[in-house]
Amino acid sequence: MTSPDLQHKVEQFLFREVRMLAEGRFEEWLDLFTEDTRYLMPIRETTATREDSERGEEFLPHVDDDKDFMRARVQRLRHHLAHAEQPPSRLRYFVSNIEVEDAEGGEKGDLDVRCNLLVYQSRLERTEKIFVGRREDRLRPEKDSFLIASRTVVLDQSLLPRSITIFF
Amino acid sequence: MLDIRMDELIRLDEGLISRRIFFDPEIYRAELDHVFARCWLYLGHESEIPNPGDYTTNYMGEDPVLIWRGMDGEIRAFLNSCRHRGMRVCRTDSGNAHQFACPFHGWTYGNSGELKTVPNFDDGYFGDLDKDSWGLHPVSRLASYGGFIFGNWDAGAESLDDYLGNLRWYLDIMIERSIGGIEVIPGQQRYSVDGNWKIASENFVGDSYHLTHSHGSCYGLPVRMLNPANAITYGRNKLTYYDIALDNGHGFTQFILTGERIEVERALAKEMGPEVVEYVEECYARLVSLSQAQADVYALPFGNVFPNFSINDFSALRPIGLYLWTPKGPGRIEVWQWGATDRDAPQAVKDVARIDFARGQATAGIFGPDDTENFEQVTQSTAGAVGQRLDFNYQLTLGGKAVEGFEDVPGHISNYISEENQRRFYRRYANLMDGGEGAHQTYEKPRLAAHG
Repeated sequence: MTSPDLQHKVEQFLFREVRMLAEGRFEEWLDLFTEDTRYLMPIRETTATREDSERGEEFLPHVDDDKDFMRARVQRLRHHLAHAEQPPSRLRYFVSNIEVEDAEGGEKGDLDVRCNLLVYQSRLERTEKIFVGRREDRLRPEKDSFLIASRTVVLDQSLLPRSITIFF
Repeated sequence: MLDIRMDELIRLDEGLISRRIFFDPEIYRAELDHVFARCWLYLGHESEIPNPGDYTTNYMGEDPVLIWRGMDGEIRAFLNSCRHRGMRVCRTDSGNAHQFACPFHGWTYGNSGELKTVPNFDDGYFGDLDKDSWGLHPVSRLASYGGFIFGNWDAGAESLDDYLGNLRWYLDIMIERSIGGIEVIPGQQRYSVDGNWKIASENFVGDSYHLTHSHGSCYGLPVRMLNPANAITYGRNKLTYYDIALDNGHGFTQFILTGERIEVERALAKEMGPEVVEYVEECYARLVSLSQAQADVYALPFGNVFPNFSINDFSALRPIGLYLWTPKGPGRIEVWQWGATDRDAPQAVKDVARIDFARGQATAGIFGPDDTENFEQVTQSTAGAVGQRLDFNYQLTLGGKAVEGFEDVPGHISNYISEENQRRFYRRYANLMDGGEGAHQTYEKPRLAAHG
């Protein structure tokens, strides 16, 4: 059973993290990840069984990044020609249903944290898109806070509402 | 009633195209008939459905289709719609099935498309329903080229080989270079774009003009897939590229015709280890045995198969990208995209392929989203009353001469960065829409109603 203190600490961490994304503080956000982190977003398909719909390692992913490529993405977004996010989208992140458990495997003190995620993207005049899914994070205690040792973003949409120019 | 003639809206001798063709709903309806119901359309790759009963799904224009390998091993394709009341018979993306029962009333079809069982056949249809004539509606023509499956709704259409024409010489490079055949990585990336399908197709058919500006944020990145090419392309600045317009509105761009593509490839292979070096030499040797001209070309690199199937093929060490711009109304595209590798590529190549694909021209890649932004805003510019009266400018290299001196290389070769491929794409489009050259004999001129 997760203590209320730990639950609170994790929640505050996640809320602060998504605020960095909404505010475009990407360099600060990158610092929240371990050097050997993996950031994964599998594709979803409509299949006969629920289990199959979440496509695994042998399938084409939407995202499969290491920290170096995450850095490259941020570097790109700062370039004056990255017009997919210039001017920047207005973003609102909603994080809920936060479940915290001791991690199985991993390093001592690691936590497995699940949450639901709803991201609203408003872009230019008329573009409005909503991405919905869940996240599975492996959090590693670091000083008074955490580092993200891995993140899997499982969106519920098999057809995404738009190409992805933002982080989840 | 007023007939709209495409050759009035598409004036290629002047390099002008009316914005109206990207927005007008009447023109869009005519496209579904005169382009999408008459051209060979990409449906999928044989490697996606290797076993009897395997199926995958797709669209031809706005018509949903089911591509299904029969128990006899034969691949067939059908309109994915029950013949009784039209319910979608197969509602999953892919899988394996020996039959589909329509969820609505239970008409059941076998995987040759035959209608097998009909509830109340005896007491409701008095045993009289002619099951043979109520099977799934087949795609009229189905053919494969190098494992790539195409369908055509027009029973009288030219053969797929004739339709591809001199593009086959180039497809052969991609197909023959692959050791063990091309294998599609399972799974598709799918996303929506609020844009017109032609903007996406023309972006691939020949638009290298946009690369420097639209994708200018990418080329300086410390990213593995870009490095060796950059070292040679941008560092030594010695490569000469060409655009090549091909039969029937197909076109590809960024060709190297003088053989240096293999140098880029060797530089990349060296970073990936001796096994990969050996693999690249084998790929190259396979092409040399095809012809030295094809070995010199080595990769496609990107282009469009008319009307809406685009391909990326820069290297045997990078994933092949397959892109389908499926129309969903004049202002919306569903993008379906796949990555592929050689079946017998070294594991080191396969391991990075799926990741490289996702990082490049992909849903969340570093190239795809900037294109999305262009497609959407360009399409929006065609909606206004004033915007519609204006033309887009396709005059880049208009009046320029074809490049000579590459007699063994088929197609109309233009100096790199031109809009010749785009002009030829729209010439083919206009011909089909107006019932001219390339259109089917029984074609009727589109009657586009102008209101008011």
